[in-house]
Amino acid sequence: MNWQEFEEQLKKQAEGHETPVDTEALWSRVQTRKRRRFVLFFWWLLGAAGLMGGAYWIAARSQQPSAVSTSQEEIQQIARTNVNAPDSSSVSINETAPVSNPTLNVPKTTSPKTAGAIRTSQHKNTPSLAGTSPKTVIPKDLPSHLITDAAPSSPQPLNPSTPQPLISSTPQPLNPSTSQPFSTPPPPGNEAIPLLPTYIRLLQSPAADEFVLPESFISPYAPLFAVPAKSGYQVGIQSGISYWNVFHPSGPDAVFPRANERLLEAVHAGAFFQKQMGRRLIIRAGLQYQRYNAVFRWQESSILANQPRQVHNYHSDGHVDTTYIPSGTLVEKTRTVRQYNYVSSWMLPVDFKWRIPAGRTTLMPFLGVQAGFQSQSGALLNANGQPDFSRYKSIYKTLFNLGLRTGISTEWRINERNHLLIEPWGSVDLRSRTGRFNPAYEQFWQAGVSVGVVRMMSYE
Amino acid sequence: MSETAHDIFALVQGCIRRQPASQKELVRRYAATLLSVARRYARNPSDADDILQDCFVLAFKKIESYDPARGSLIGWLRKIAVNCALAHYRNYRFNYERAAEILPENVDISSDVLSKLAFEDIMALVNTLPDGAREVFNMAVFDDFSHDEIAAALGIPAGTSRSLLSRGRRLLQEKILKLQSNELARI
Repeated sequence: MNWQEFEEQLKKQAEGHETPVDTEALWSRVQTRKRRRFVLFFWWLLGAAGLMGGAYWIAARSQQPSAVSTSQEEIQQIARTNVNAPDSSSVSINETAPVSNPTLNVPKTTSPKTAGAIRTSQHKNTPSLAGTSPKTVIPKDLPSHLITDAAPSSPQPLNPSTPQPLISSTPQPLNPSTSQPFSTPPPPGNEAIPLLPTYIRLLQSPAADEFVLPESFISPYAPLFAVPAKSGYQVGIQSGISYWNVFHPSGPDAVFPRANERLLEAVHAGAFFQKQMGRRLIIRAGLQYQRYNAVFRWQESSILANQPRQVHNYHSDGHVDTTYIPSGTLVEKTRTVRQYNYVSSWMLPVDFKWRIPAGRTTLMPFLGVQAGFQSQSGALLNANGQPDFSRYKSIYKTLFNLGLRTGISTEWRINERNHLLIEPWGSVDLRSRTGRFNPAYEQFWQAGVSVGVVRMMSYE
Repeated sequence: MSETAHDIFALVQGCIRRQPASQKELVRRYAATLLSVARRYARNPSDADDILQDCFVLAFKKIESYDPARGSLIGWLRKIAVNCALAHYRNYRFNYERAAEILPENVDISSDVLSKLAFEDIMALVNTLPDGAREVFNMAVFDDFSHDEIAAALGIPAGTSRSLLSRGRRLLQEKILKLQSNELARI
């Protein structure tokens, strides 16, 4: 007996061999496993939602520190603005103080109106905080009772470390450029302080705790998420073409033999909205439909091997018949691969874009993920080796897929609200179209270009 | 119950629609055969049960990719079972060293001796083969994998697959002959 006979005999003995199994118990265990998979998916979904919520929370929270962490320049602007404001009367003047040592007697607790103004300016993130405040006006009509008799020979810069009389007998121009850093500790108590409006002093006083967050409270991500004064959301539509194919990491029996690889077309269209999350960061989400052209030419290897081929034809009414293609009759034919006749997908891309403004044009390289469903349907061959589109009921599958995306969005500003979008992009699917253990391991990759219009919908 | 193409088509369609009745019928119909496959690869019965469960869970998940034109449903399920078994032991590092083995053309076992052995006995002998040789022997002899497919599945060169098969053959022959001589001695 040679080895082949030996193994065939072994195989014959193995064929039809069954090991008794309690199918009821097995079925219950399999059902438990299926439920567990669902629970895992649920938790995955919950985790993803939590992650997105966390990101949103960070973004929302970082708006507050961004307002509070106003720079010295901004504080000065507030100061100037408020000095000029009608409610500057909240700065009470201690008129009983000696004329030679005039001071501003700032109350520990400011008037509700002023406090409200501070709170508002800190929390609303109004444009006035973000650099678009009203123009600084140096008060020209400073009340005369604020002027002391002592007249220095020349204007002196204010020095917080050595308290100076606030106002001399000679009116001194209030020169913002020579203002001292406000980080300098204030003098203790209610003693004379340099020219600081009430609210600035509040920021430095214990009472200011109510309004000011320490630096340590500011998120390190604040610069990333800090929303600029002028931000809103945008909606857009886009459409385009792409070319696609599949990777062949493995598979001697690959559905797409290498010899017949070529780029294939696909068209896509979609809508999206995007929102600026920071000075640079933009998040975009949308819905995209793709339709792939998927007709292939290939050589059917089993037919080339001169093996008769048996094809089951599944009719839409459930009837099944069988066609035998005789050996050697087909050598090379145009055949539509069943699962890939018609591939279309609905995807939800989420992209993170990095904004690089350049005049009217804004470049936005992006990275993102996409998730969605692909449906694949096809036709069986008839006896002549041609696809028969009347019989494809059984050849239909829907597949959830995940992918990675990258590209560069280029937006060209047409006018204040509308931008033209041109976007070269590429993507790769993380999952094989063909099942885990199918020898043909196929991942789609795509490269394409989209053209669209983006419209600014609102300003915050 | 004879399995007509129509039965199988209806069964597959039911599984695609996630109908529990169809899925349960699939389990009832093929579990015994697939357990037999799983036990050839498993190191113990408990592992075989796990592999069988994995096999059905994966089959239900991937049932849409079953293509009747490419082969029978049981053949497809057997391939899944084999791959589940390989995946089950994927973390083990087998010693797949390539050892050139030259085997004689013929086996020193008569077909009578082989036919007298119960399949369970043969499987017991196959299961005593060392890791690597056992997988390759199972895949090549019982499950019709080519050496290229074995190489791809196990991540080894095709030449190593061939030499492991040769080693499996030789060891199995030795074990059967030993069993045969023990039987003769007992008589």
